[in-house]
Formats: sequence, C-alpha cells, structure tokens
Amino acid sequence: MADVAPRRRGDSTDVFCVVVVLAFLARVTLPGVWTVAYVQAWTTVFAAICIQAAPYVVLGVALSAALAAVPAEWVRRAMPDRRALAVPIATIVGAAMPGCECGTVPVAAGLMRRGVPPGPATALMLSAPATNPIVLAATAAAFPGQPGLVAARFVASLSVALAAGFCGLRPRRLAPHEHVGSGAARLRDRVGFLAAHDLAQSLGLLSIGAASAATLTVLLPQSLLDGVSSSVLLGITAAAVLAVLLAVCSEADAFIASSLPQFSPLAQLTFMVVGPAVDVKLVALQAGAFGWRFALRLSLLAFVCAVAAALATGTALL
Amino acid sequence: MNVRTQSFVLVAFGIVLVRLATTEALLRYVRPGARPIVLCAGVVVAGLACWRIIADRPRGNSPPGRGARSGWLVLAPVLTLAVVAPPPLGALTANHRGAVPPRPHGPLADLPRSNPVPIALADVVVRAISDHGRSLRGHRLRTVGFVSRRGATGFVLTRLVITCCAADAEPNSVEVTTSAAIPAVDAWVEVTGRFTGMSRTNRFTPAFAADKVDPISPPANPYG
Repeated sequence: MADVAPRRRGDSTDVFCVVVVLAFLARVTLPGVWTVAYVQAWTTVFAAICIQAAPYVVLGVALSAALAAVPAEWVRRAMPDRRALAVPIATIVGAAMPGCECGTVPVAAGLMRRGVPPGPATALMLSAPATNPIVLAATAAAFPGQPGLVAARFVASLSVALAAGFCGLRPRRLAPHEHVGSGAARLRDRVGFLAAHDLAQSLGLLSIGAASAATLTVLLPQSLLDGVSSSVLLGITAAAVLAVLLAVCSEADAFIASSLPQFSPLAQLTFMVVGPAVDVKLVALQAGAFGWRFALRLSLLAFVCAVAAALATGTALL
Repeated sequence: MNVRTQSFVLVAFGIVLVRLATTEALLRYVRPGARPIVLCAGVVVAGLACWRIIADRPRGNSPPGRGARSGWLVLAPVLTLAVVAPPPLGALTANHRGAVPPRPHGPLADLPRSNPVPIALADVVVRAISDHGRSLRGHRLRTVGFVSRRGATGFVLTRLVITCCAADAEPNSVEVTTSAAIPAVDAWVEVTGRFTGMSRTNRFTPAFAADKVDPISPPANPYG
C-alpha cells in the first residue's frame, strides 16, 4: 500500500551513488590535478599502503570473527587466570605467530570480546608484529653480521609487549555491542554481521593512517633528516617520531632503517622497536576497535616503553 | 551509513582488489609476491559483502540496521584506484629520497662473457660499491631504468626497489654521460655503456659512459 507508507527520504545508499557519480565527473572535468607530480606520488603511496595492508586486515578480521563462533567459556578457560602468567604466555604466543600489525588489532579485539582480559590481549597485539620469526629474519638480512642488533630488537620488543600487558589499559567500549540469541543460524548471522562491520571499520580507518603516512613519505625532505641526525639525542628522537609517522610494515622497517645511514645504530634500533608498536595506521585501526581514547593512551604508553626499551637494550647489546 | 551501503562499499573494495590482482596494475603498488593474497582478500571481502546484502535485505517496512560510520572512508582507496589509477612512482620519489647505500647481498659471481652484459641497475650499484667495481670493469653493460634528472652532458638513470609496497621505495641510480640526445624526465630507457668509477657528487652513485641510449616502453614491473 504505497500511499500509506512513509515518504522515503534519502538514505546512505543514495549518498553512496552520488559520491560514485561525482568521483567519475571529477576524473573527467579535472584531469590537470592528477598530473601534478606530488599528487601522483601521494595517490600511489596511499593506494599502495591500502592494498598492502588489506589482506592482513582481512585475515585478522576472519580470525576475530572465527573467535566469535568459539564459546566464550573455552576462550576463558584457555587463558590462565593470573595476570602474572597470562601476560607472558600471550607475549610468547604472539612472538610465535607470524602476524602483521594490521592483522593483530582485530584479533586482539576479538579476544577481548570473548572475555580475555585487556592485558594479555594487548601483550599479544604488541608482540606478534614485532618479534615474529619473519620480522627477525628480515632484520638479520638487512643488517648482516650484526646479530646484536637482531637480539636487541627482539628483547626490546618483547619487553614493550610485557610492560604494556602488565599495565593492562582497559577500553571503555568494544564496538559493536549486539546481543543476539544462540542457535546455529543466529550464530552464523552474528559472525557475518560482525565480520562485515569490522572490515568496513578497519579498512576505513586504515585509509586515515595510509593518508597520513603517504603525506609524510612524499613531503619529508632529505635535508631535514641529515640535519637532525647530527646529534645522537636528536637522531633518536627523530627516528622514534619517523617510525610513528612513516608507518612502514614491520617486515619492511629493517630495510628502511638500514638505508638511513644518517642514523646511529641506536637510532636505527629505536626506529624498529617503535614502528611495530605505535604508528599512525595502528592508532587508526585501534581507534576503530577500541575507541580513540584507548588507542591514544595505549599508543602513548607503548611509545614511551618502546623508546626506553630500545635505549636500554641498545646500550647493553650494541 | 546503514548495513546495505556498508555492503556496497565492501563489494566495491573487493572488486577493486580482484581487478588489481588480475592485471599488471598491481605491480605499480606492491611486490609481485603479494598477488595471491590480494586476490584472496578481494574474493573474501566481495563474497562476504554479497552474502550480507542478501542477508540484510529489508523485511517489511523496518529500515536497514546501522553499519560502521568509518565505512565511508573505504571509498577513498576505492575511488583512488578505480578513478585516478595512480601511475608508478618516478623521478619525484627518486630525487626526493636521494641515493641510499646498497642492500646487503651474497657473494658476487663473475659477470657472463657476453657483449653487452644485461644487468639490473641495483646489481650495478652493489658491484660498484662493495667491490669497487672490479667485476664491472672490462665489460660493456646494458641496463634499464627511467630518467630522474637531466644535465648538460648526461642524465641520472634510476630504478626504484620496493620491499613490501611503494611506500618503502628506494632508488638505485647511475650517472650517465652520453653524446646522444638526452631523454625527458621519467622516460624509460635502455642504456648500453661502461662503468667509469663513482660519481663525484654522490658516494652511492656509480658513473657510466653510455654509447647507446634507446627509449623503451615502461616494464610491467616498474620496481626491481
């Protein structure tokens, strides 16, 4: 009965269609903008980060959705009750898991939703991308003949995960809160709903991180790097800040660090310890999963721990 | 954004990934080894979203449920790839980053006895620096790259290398001296010539005296 149905107002699907049409019009009417070298380089780097990270985000979301299908009771029983035991175990499990940082955020969120305390989940989230075998192998390949640096990276990143795990910051909310009853069909629907929601959220926020990293990659002048690294302290600070802003994958950061000869070995180590723990795309992904407040507090904590751990292990082992 | 729009956006994202993974365009952004995982990710995202479109179809008069607000941002990479289709990185990145020390490598084998010897630009840089060009001398070499800078008597020939994606691109460069016409910046060329030592302006850049400079079409994999 069309005449009694409420008049249909525009909804988000209409907006979606309009955006798509406008985008194609922009391509046709503003061809000049896309040929500016800086715009081209920016769009290439932006697209590259999104494409590179997407499979890992999808894998992480798939694991997280699979966790939603496991009875909460099992997950809770698999984790020891005492934090003193749970955090180190989660850290070691993370170290053995070859995950990329983009994939571990949804996994940690999935674990928390299933009742795992924030401490161990955070420890896993921080240790998996930084200390797994693939990353260590890449580091050894980028710095041949320097096993001390590989060891220092491993020890420093493990300590960051342990320290942040024991602090056990608590997110205020875990989006989305949906209480659907049990039953196989309901469960399947819930897993699908969560997966689609998490994917849209993670991939969307990832593009904020990618945009910020692309801007720095395209605009950072080499001369600034040369100037900043003339002093040891300034070099370490610059390396830590650069690791946050450049947001390279943990598998690639060792090669980037080794190609920054302006930096001292200690600054290179700082770059590799800070990067997998805190960077702009991670903050964005964590904000999606746990809220901005938690993401910023955790990142600040991890940043301080990472710089301290890198300096301590670097001084001892390099 | 409601769940239906969210699913549409995800379908679009999945299709863009699948399309990339089935064409050469993928190599502008990530390493060739990423192709299978990008393809899988695209299929999974598009498949999941199609299922959700059917599962969330409106029943009666109830409006569709709420989706993730940040889902709108997924349109940024979708439109960037589908509408702008950014080109591979080129001279801007090469000049911006400056020459970097060569990557670590295994033992250097002798070059084959052909004339000219086809050789990757990265290999020229490695050999020029780590064994002071001993294995390069006495050979006529042929290498491929793009022009990143033009000078009065020559140009800088560059090839970018990537580890994971274009965000970590780093240049390998050779300073070419030639009497031939100097090609435009960002043009791809095949240069044949001899190694003559290191550049006087950059300690990581070998110098090359070219006897032949041939324009070529850009290679499928711009990085390497």
